[in-house]
Amino acid sequence: MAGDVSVEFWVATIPFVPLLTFPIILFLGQYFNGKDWWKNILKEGGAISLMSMGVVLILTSMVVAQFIGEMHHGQGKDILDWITFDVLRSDGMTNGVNLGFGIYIDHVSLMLLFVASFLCFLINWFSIGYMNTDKINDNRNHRFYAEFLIFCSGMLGMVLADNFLWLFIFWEIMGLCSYLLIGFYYEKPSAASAAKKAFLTTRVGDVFLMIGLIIMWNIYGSLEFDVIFGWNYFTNPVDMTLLKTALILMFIGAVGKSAQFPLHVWLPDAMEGPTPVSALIHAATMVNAGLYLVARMFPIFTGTADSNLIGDLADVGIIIAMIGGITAFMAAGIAFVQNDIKKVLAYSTMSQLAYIFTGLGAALWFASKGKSELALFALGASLFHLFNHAMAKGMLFMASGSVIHEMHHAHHHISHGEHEGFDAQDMTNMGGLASKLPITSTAMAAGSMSIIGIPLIGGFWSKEGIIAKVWKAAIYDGGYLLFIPAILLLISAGMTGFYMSRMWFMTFAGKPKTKVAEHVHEETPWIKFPLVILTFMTLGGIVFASLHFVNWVSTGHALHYDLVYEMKHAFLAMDKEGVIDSTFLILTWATIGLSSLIGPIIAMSLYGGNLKDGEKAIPTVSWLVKISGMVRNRWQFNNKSLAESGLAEALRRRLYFDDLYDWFCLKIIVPIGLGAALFDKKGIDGVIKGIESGSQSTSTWIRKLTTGSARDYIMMVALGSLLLVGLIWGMV
Amino acid sequence: MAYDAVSVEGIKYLLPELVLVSGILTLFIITNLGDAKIRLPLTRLRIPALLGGNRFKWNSDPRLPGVISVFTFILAIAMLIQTLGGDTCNDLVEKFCAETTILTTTGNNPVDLLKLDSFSRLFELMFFLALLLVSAASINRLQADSNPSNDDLDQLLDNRRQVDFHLLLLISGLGMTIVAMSMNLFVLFVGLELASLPIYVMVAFHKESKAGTEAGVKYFITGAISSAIGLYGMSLLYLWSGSLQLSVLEATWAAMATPETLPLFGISLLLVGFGFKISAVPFHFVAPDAYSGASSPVAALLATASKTLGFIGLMRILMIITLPETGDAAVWMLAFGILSVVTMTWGNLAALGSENPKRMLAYSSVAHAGYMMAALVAVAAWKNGSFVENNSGGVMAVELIIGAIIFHLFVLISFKIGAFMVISHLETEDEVTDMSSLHGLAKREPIIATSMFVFMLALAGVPPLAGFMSKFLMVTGIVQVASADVLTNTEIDLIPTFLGMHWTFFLAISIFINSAISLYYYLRIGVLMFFEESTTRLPLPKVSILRFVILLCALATIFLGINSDWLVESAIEAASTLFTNS
Amino acid sequence: MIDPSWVAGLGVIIFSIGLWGAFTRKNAIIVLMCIELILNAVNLNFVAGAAHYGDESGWMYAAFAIAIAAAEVAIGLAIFLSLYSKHKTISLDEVELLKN
Repeated sequence: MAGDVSVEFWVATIPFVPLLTFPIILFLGQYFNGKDWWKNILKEGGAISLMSMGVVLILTSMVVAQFIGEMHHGQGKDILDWITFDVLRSDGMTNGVNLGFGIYIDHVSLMLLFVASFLCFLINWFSIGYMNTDKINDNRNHRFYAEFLIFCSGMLGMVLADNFLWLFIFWEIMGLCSYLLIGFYYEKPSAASAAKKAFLTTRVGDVFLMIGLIIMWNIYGSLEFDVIFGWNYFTNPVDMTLLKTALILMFIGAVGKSAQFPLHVWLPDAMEGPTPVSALIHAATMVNAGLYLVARMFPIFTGTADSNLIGDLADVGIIIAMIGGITAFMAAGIAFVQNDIKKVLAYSTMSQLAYIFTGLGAALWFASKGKSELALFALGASLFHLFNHAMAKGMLFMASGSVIHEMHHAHHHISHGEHEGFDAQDMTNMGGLASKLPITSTAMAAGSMSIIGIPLIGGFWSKEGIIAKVWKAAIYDGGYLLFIPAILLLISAGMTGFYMSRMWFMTFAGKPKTKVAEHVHEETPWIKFPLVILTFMTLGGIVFASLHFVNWVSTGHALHYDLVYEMKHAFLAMDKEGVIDSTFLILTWATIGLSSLIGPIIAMSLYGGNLKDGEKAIPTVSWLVKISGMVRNRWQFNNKSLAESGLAEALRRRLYFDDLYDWFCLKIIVPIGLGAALFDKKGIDGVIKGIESGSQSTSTWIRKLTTGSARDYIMMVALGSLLLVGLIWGMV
Repeated sequence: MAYDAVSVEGIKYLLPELVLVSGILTLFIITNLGDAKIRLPLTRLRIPALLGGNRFKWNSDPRLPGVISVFTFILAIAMLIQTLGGDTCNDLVEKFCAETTILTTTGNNPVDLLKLDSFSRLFELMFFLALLLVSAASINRLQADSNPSNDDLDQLLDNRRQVDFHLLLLISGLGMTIVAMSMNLFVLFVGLELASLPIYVMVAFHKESKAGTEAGVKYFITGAISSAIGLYGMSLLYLWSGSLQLSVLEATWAAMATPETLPLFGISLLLVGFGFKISAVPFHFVAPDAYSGASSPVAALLATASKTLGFIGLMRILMIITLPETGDAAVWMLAFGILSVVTMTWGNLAALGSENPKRMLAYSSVAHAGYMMAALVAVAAWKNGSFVENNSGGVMAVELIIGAIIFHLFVLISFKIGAFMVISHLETEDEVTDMSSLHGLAKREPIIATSMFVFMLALAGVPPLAGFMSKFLMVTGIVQVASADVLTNTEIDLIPTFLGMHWTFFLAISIFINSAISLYYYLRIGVLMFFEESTTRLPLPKVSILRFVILLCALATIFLGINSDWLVESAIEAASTLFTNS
Repeated sequence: MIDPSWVAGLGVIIFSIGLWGAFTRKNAIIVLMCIELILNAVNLNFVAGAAHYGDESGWMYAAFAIAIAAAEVAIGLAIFLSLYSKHKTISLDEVELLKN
């Protein structure tokens, strides 16, 4: 196609830059730990990793700049053919097999590449301020930065890989780093067990993913994207049930990685890791891996739909959407009762990712029915939501980190080093921080608004698109089962409005609830810069939307600016021909109303309130505080009975999922494990020891045959010649 | 194109060999330059006649002969490279190939003597590389333990020692190239002896030690007997066919209706000779003694170059002469199959418990020989199977497997020589007779220990190092042969086909099992290096040339593992020229 | 012309004697002599073949074989000399340091 640019070799270096840098940090850290210059100038490796991330960001920008608007379909490039061989089939023809590493770029991977490298860079910047100023991290930050880099290379590699095998390899690398980083404070038993829980839960998903990939290999004979996406189903029909099974199994892997129901239990506990870890891994990149995998399945659906297999894979789309809907609702509910600021954000992540999954499910459903235009739109909306969510969530976690950090400092100042029982992450200890943390509060406000979906800000454009498409599938196109996720999404939108506002108001509005909160200042360097940048990115969602980002990311059509069309499309539910659909108009405004008005207002009336007298918040958020004060004064809403009800208790216990899994493990899995261990020790080890001693004695016996006497050697030569003569002559 | 060997047009194809000869002469002459003076007759004038007298300071330096030989080999490789390419093969980037030239005797009825084609050029390159590494590692090694009080004398005797050693290396190199190029079985034998006799001396070189002399004697005696038996077999072949030209032998064998006793005896005895060189069971007994008694660079030469010599001979005999075109079994297939399995197993089992690192490497060489022998058997099975109708497919598979063997021999250079170089470095400190020399090497010399570990992994066949690629190709070849719809008329009715697989499938299975067994002792070296405590904490004495060679070999191992396409293509090209117009 | 099979038969006898002696004798030099016997048998074969087939190269092979045998003996004796100077014996039974 005209204007197609080809992938250059240097793109392949992007994942390897951080991979090559991490040993440097590790070695230098081991040798120079504690030295002043290491700590202050190189920030215990932070500066080195920041430079590495900077290089990656520059390279990514170059790639994006090269490809924007120029690429119409995925471009692949083989970097390294490691093993190629011809397998001889029984009918005498040969089959070429190639296991190699290559690069595959299309708009989806470009977007994720940009998100990943951008956020990795900013979060690295943030960590220099966050980690290095905390005494508890002294002399072990090099480990943090090294693991950080490995993780980044894993994410970048996964996004660029051109076959499912390498995607899986990098997927596993990320899982490993998640374990290492969650358990960074390994001396804390809670952190260690949280890391173990995360690893094991995602592992369950990974097993299914592996089986799914093996089935894919069986079906297609190769795991390369080129082969699978370009498969001609007319000439080479495949077994649809097998393909469906494979896709569902792969989806289960995504469920584990992206913390969806029922493999979601690890995400809240993963907050034990340092906040930059939560920001990077559990908001912005790793949990998007599952989404990327599902997005990569899209061409398979369009491909099968082109041939006469319409509708066969629709069930997969429905399953994905269902899981998404259930998770969104469930997570939003649990977030209602969380007091720990990071846990609120964790459940919010779960919920928003569920939104994206639902959108992807609808997209895949449309694709399998052959309705490619709707499918592409839904895909684009989901991916745009991924983009917005990553930016906003990363910023929210970093902002919450800033809050926690400053609370810690304030606590230090006051109590002179005692740590007894004060939880810096508990929102009931905060309050009224808007005047003390201006930049943080602004950032958090912007991020929350994006997540809630306040009109014109970030997430609004994409969330609305997803909800619209799911409803469209349910109402108009016969996907009746999709009603359930559609309704759940709508309700969750309102719930999102509530709990995000609750979080903001509890932390920043009202009067300080403890003495610590009164003494908070925003004083840590390095933290403000990423927050400011991401605030602009979030607020700039309108720019992206008006550039038809949705269109670009799904089909690769060039970006062009059309703000008016997008506004009309969003607010008036007007489609391309200018027709206004009244059902969707109602839907749009219901969503806006629920999420942007009802939810926040209820939250304001419960938790809002003016600041202490004499304190002023920064203008960007002072209007929020004022409104909340007004609302609180007008409507007093007593939620005491609700807060102590059984439902609230169940939500606090995370709907008892953890207990269920615990029981399952204790009663069933542990005994099986013990039995297996016994068999291993007695049976298998016994056999191994037997082989070992047997082989040692055989070896000694054989070596004794080399007697050391030259005459024996010569005799052996003579015997050997007789043997050869005998064998050859005798055979004839 | 056939040229007269001693004519002007012909000689220029022999440039690498000429470089070797001139290297020999240079070594002779330069180290013997002195300040002797000749008195002109009938006068009292004395003019310096450089040969003889007191040697100068600069040419009694014991490092000089080594340097000269290293340069000679480098020059020879350069000359070799410039003979590559040509009309029939222009893409040197893709693979290594050379045009075929034949050199003959002078006179009215020229007899074809030497054939220079991709096969011989590739092997020449292999030999030169191995010899280059060995001579680089032997610069000023094995000092003569003589008079320590007189420094000058000491140095001179060392120099003499080194001259002898490097002369032997160069002469051996000459012999090796003749083996690679020969078209006549006797010329091959002459080259073989020319290459082996210096190696006998080099094994016995350190005559001040008991181990060295004993190893030398044993190796010499066994080797002499084996090559004598081999020569006897060759003479039987001569009696039978009346000529030792490979082409004539091939024709006569093919024309043979039923196998006759005389050539069978000849072939089997000839296999004895070559079997000793590749250290196949039951001719391998002296190999551990030779490897452990000789100095490590010489042992490295034994492990790579000698083995390659043997395999060239085997390929010539087995592939060219005795491999039938049509469906009968090759007479040697079963014998060789049994021998290969026994060899692999013997080598690996013996290496398991071995306490001396050099003996362990010797046994592992035995095992590697077994793998390659198994691949040769697979060729026989393919060539005589029912695939013969699809002739292009059949010949191509043959080239693939032979190419795999050639590839394996080539990459063996990088990690086998590397492993022996590490041991050689340990020998600069103290004699290595026991595994305890390797203990704690990682703490003393991390880079060398890592390189050794890389070599061990490559020997075991662990991806992505070079050893994996070659073993993989060989096993793929064998399995392809075994599983492709094959052969009912192998005339070996004693051994049934198992599950529809030809019995060569068991060769592949035994290679698998043996690779697994071998992994134990290779990894054990890694454990000893990294986890055991050493008796001394000091780093090894600084011998930069050895370290450089070790590092080079490690890098080559890794590089060839990842990016082996060029070499594989070259090996297959070499194999194809082996089979065409022999 | 003598029937080459007689010459070859003599060759076989000499070969067997040489082979027998090679792995039976203790003295290294005697073993060397037995190797020479084997090479002698080789020469007989070459000569017989050359005469029978009228092939010129057979004579050349014989001549070369003699030269190579001589070189081998030279090297062998040199190695035995160094063996003797170190071990003070040339009995093959008594050099058994390297084994297993």
